[in-house]
Amino acid sequence: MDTDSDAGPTIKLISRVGDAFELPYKAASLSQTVKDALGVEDDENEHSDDVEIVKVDTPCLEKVVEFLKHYQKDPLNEIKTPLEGNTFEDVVKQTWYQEFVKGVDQPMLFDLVTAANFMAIQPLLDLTCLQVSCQLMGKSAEEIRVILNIPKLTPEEEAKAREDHRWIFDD
Amino acid sequence: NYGALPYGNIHLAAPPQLVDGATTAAAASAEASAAAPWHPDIVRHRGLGPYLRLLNDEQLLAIFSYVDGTTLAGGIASTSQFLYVAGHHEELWRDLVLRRWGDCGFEVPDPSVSEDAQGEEIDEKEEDRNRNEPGKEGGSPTKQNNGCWKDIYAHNHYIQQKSQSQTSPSNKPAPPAPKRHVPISMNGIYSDTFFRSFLCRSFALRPSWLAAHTVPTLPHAEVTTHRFITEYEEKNRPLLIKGASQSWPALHTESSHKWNAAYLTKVSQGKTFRATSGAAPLAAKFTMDDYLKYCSSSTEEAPLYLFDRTFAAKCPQLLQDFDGALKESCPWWSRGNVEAGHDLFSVLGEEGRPDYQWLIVGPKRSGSCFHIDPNCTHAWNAPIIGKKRWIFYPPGVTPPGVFPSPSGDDVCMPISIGEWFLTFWDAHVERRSDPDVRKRPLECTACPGDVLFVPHGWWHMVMNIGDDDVGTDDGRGMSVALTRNYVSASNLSDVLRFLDTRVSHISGCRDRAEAVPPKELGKEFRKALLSVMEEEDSNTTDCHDGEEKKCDESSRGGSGRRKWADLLEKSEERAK
Repeated sequence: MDTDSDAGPTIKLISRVGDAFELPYKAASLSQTVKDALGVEDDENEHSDDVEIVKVDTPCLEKVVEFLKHYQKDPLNEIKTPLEGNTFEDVVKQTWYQEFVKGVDQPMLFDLVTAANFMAIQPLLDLTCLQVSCQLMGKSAEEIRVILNIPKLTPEEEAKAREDHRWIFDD
Repeated sequence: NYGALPYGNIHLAAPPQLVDGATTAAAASAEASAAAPWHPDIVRHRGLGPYLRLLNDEQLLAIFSYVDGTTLAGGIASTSQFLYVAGHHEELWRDLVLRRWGDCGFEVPDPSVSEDAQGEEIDEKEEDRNRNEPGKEGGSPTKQNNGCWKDIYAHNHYIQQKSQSQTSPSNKPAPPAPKRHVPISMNGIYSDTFFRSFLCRSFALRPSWLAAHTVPTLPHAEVTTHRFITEYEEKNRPLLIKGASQSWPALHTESSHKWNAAYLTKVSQGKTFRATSGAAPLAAKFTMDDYLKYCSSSTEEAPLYLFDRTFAAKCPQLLQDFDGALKESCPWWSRGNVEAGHDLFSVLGEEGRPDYQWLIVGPKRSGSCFHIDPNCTHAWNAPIIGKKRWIFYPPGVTPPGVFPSPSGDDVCMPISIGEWFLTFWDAHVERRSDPDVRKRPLECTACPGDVLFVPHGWWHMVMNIGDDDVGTDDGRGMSVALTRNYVSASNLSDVLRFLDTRVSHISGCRDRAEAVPPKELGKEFRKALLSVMEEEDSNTTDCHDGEEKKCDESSRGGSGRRKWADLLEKSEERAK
């Protein structure tokens, strides 16, 4: 674990099953939930409190902590809309964040969305939501069903939807 | 509407029944997925799949806000019933239109009436239904022009595609023209997010919201300059003047310049006007014709509100339709009447002064949520088409549902009028009986023909309530009004103090090159006032007998000027 001498006091985040992750208070306070849980906004004092993140499992919390630590050193640039491109790499240019997102599978990606929401970490929420949107960009309804594992429509529903959107389909 | 119900209704949900041996589509698909036996939220559950269902509706909207129109309509909204409803969320499509065409402008297609698109004004409680809108209870729901942002998107996308295929004939042929969107109502969708938006834009106006009349009111004939200044402006009390604008060409029934949809479109000759809303990411530009089309069919929670400060320069006829008559009927509000101590910002010149006059147009139920007018100014507001409902709270008395930050710098309040009425009405009613009378709210309805005085520092909220009892051709419930903000002797010292101490809050001069910038405004204003005073001192200013009488009645008279000159000198000393 990296130990910056000027990272300041550290705290521990505890996962649902009791695994602990240590990180600087400053990094953890990006999470509004953590900040509120600790109560005190002054980061001069030594914090001996550990914060239990009851809704997040160990593997996911590990990734969250990884994100928080890195963000403190190199914050994610704001995602501007309209998007500057159609792929994730066109929009998020910082390579660490590109790697971070590429390195998780579908279930973990959605775990991160819910974790980011629960822990109120806006940049992580933006990043993960953006990745999901990029997966859907330019895809047809059928392709989206495959990516997200959604059951097919009935033939009647399918016909109705197609009729409504003729202006998109070229045929 | 898409059939979404509030989340609480989920407790009343029951599995779809088999009817006469034939199965409904829902029952069939529920049966087909034996792995997912029916439960009340199954439409959402199946419609989102194992990943998306972990997220709440707000997060879904966050994800969808990044995709383009083709993906949203052709992909997402066609994927499942739940995603159909989510993917048609008005605000998503509004943002797509504004981001793609906000700068260059976009067309609004004609909202033609469609047989299937039925509009019903809905209410939270079934029992209340009968008390609303007398003409519409029972019977068939009214056929409304329910336009939507998706139609606007499809229309402009189509235009762009068509012109592209025309310029390069070797490309594929033009796509078919989009059809008007007819919402398909889905059963089994329980979502506060999607229901709330629908409710807030469609709620019926309850008579109890519109009944109170506590703003001081006088008929026009009983208002003289002296009375207005001493009893209302100097006392900083609101006043509704009934009939004050009836003579204005814009309103007068006999005049050929009476404002209505057709006249405004003709006179504005294709010029564009600026429309915004608290919820929209950017401002939009509309021609008057397009904006009125949008107005008559808007179904959003917080519709775009036309609020344009340059209408007089763009369309001088519009100014002529009221400015001269205003001078006659309400001389105490004559523009630029500096000698009388009124409209003192005019000393900075038409370009240098902060924004001061606006044309306001909006659909029914649009309006402004609680705010205090900028720069400590007084204002008058004149409805021209459509009535306005006003709620005032005195200076320093924060209205329910408004949350200023501790420093008072920022204010947080619900964006939409609908949300305020639905959430904070009861709290407001309690405030009417506040033991301290001076803290109580004041309310009224201003009609075309009336002019309302809004004293500086007062919180106020305005809702456009249309012309429910008058059958006009002005578009369903559209509202048009004029307003001006001003500085006079009665608020000069407050304005100067504001300009000196709250520079970051000064508004109306930040995005125009010719305007005096905020940091300089206090200084320049004083300078200009002083030079006007010096000029007047060097002229003769005695009134002859006959003229003097006229001075008192039709203008604010010499005493006004002396008053503001005194105030200026006092504030000069304070500033040193």
